[in-house]
Amino acid sequence: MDIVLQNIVNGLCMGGIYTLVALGLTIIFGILNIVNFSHGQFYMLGAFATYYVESLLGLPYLLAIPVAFVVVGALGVISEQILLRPVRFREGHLPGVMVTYALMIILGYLALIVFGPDPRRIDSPFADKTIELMSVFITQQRLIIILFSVLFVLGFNSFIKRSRFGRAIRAVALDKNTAALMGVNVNLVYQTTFGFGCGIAAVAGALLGPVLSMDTNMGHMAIMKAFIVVIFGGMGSVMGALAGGMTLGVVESLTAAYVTTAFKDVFGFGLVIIVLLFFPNGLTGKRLNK
Amino acid sequence: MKLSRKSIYGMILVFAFMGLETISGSMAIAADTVKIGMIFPVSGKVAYDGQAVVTGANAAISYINEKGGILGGRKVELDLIDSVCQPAQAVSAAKRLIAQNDTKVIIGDFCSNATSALQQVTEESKVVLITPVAVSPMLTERGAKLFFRNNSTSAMHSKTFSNFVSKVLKLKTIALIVKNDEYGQLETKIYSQLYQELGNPKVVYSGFFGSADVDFSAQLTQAKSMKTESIYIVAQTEQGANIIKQLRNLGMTNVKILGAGALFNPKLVELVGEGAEGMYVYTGYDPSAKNPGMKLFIEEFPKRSGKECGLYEAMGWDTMLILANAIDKAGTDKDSAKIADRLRQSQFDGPRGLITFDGNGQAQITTKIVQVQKGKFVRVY
Repeated sequence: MDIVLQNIVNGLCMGGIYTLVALGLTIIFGILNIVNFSHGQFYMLGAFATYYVESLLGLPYLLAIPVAFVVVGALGVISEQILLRPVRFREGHLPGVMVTYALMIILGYLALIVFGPDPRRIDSPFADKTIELMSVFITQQRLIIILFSVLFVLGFNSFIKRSRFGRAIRAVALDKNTAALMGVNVNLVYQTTFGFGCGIAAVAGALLGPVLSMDTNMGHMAIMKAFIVVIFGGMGSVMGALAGGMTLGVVESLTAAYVTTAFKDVFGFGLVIIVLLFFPNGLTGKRLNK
Repeated sequence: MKLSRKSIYGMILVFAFMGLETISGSMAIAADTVKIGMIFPVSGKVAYDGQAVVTGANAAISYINEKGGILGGRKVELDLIDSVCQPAQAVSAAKRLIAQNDTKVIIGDFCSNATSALQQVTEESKVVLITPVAVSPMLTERGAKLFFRNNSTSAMHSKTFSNFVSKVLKLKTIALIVKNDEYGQLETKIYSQLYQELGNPKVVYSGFFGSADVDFSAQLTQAKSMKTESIYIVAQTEQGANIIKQLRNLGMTNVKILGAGALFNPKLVELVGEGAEGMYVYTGYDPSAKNPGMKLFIEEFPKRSGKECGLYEAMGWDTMLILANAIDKAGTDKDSAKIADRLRQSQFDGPRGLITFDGNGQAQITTKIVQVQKGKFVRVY
C-alpha cells in the first residue's frame, strides 16, 4: 500500500514540476496569443541567475529567487520590446513563432558560450531534507514545488478576475484593438505579461534547479513537456496547466510503476491524444482564439 | 521577381561571407600542418562529456607542438566539427572534412550510433577513424579495416566487474536502473547473464529510463519495494547524479551503489555530495596510478588546459598522442593504410596504463574498480 501511495506522491511531485514549467508559457499564450518557443531558455536562465546570485553575491537561496525573477523578467521585457513588438499586429501565430524560435536558438548558444557545458547544482537548504510520512518519502523542495504551483494558480486567477490591471489584461486578450480604443495601455500589458511570464519561468528554473539536472540544455528538455501540458490542459488556462500537469505526472508515475518504465512517455502522450479526441480544446475546454 | 535594394545588399553580404570562408579554408590547406579531423559533440545533451574529450585532445596537441611537432617538425592541427552525437550531422561533417580538407585521420564520435554511421563513410573513403569513447561491441566486430576504438567495451569491463560484485562484495540482490538505449539494453543483458552464471547477486528489478528523463522516482520506488541491497546504474554524469540524489531522498540510505564506467567522474561526486559516498565504479583510468604515462598527463594536462584531470580528458589526451605517434612512425599523414598499420603495432603508456590494439582495432586496457571515499575516487580492485 505504501508503495502505491509513494507512486502517487511521486506523480504529484512530477505534476508540480510540469505545472511550474508550463505556467509562464500558458500565461503568455492565453493573453498575448504568442507561442513562446524561447520559454525553456528563460527557464534555464532563471536557474543560472539563481546559481550566480547565490555563488557570486552570496545571497541565500530564498532571496536569490526573487532576484532571478526580476533579472530574467527584465530580459523578457527587453526581448518583447525589441523583437516581438514589431510583429505584434501581424496576423496569425507564425511571426511570433519565428521570432521566439530564433530567440531560443540564440539564447541557447549564448548560454553555452558564456556558462560552458558544465552541469551545476543550485544549493537549496530544502533539496536534501526528506520528510517521511507513513513510509512515504518526499523532499521539502518537492513539497515547496507542489505548494507553489497550486498557490500561484489560485493567486493568479483571482488577480486576473478581481484586479483592475487584471481586467485590462483580459480586455487585451479578448481584442487588443478595441482595448486600445477604450484607453487600455496595450503596450504596458504586453510588456508586463511577457516579462511576468519569463519571470515565472525563471522561478521555475530556480525551484527545479536543485531537484533536476541543471545545465544550458535544460530548457530543451523542459519545454517539450511544457507544451504537452499546455495543450493538454487547454491553451492559455493556468487552471488547465495545473490540471494537465498533475494528471500527466500521476499517469506517468503509475504506468511507469505498474506497466513498464521503458516507454513512460508513450502513456503520457497517448493520454493526451485520447483527451484531445474527446475534448479538442483541452481539459478546461477554453475556446481557442476566443 | 523584383528584388528590393535591401535584399540585394543582404545577398551580397552572404556571398562575401561564403567567399571569405573558402579563402580561409584554402589558406589553411596551404599551411604545412598535419590536420586531424575530430567529429564530436560539443553542444547538445552530451556536450559536457564531449567537450572534456576535446579539451584533452587539444592539450595533447599543444604538448606535441611544443615538443617540435611530428613528421620532421610539422605542427598538428585539429579540425573540430560539432556532431551533437547525431548520425546525420556526423556523416555530413565527415564528408565535408574528406572532400574539402582531404582529411585522412578522423577522431570520432562519442555515441555509438553516430560512430557507426561515421564508420561507413570513413571505410568507403579509406580514412582512419578512431573513437575515444563509443562502447557498442558491434563497432569492432564488422571487420572494418581502418577503424580503432581507444576504449574498453562494456563486455570487456563486465567480466572483472561482475566478478568483483559477486565474489568480493558478495551481494545477494541487485536492481538495474538503466538508460533505455543500445548501450543500456546491452549492459542489462550482459550482467543479467553473468550474475546468473555466477549464482549471485539475484537481479530483482530492471528499470529503464529515457535519455531526456530528469525524474527517476518511479523506477527507484519499484527497486525499493523489492528491498534490493544494491543498485547498478547505467547513465551519463548528469542523469547518474540525479538518480543517486533521488534514491537517497527516497530513503534508500544504505543501498550500495554500483555505477557503469560513465559515472566515473569527479563532477558527479561534486553534484551529488555525500550521497555518492561508497559508490563503486569500473574504469580504465585510475587517478592514483603511478606509471610514467599518468605522471606526464598529471604534469602537462592541467597547465595546458586549466582544467582538472579526468577520465574523458584522458581519453582525448591519449587518443591524440597515439595518433600522432602512429602518423609520425608511418612517415606520412596521407596514407591511411600505413597509419592504420602503425596504430595496430603501437604500445602506448598513457593515463590509462599500457594500451595496445588487437586485429579488430580494439584497445586492450586493464579494468580497474574504484570507490568514492571521502569524496575522492580510490582504486580498490
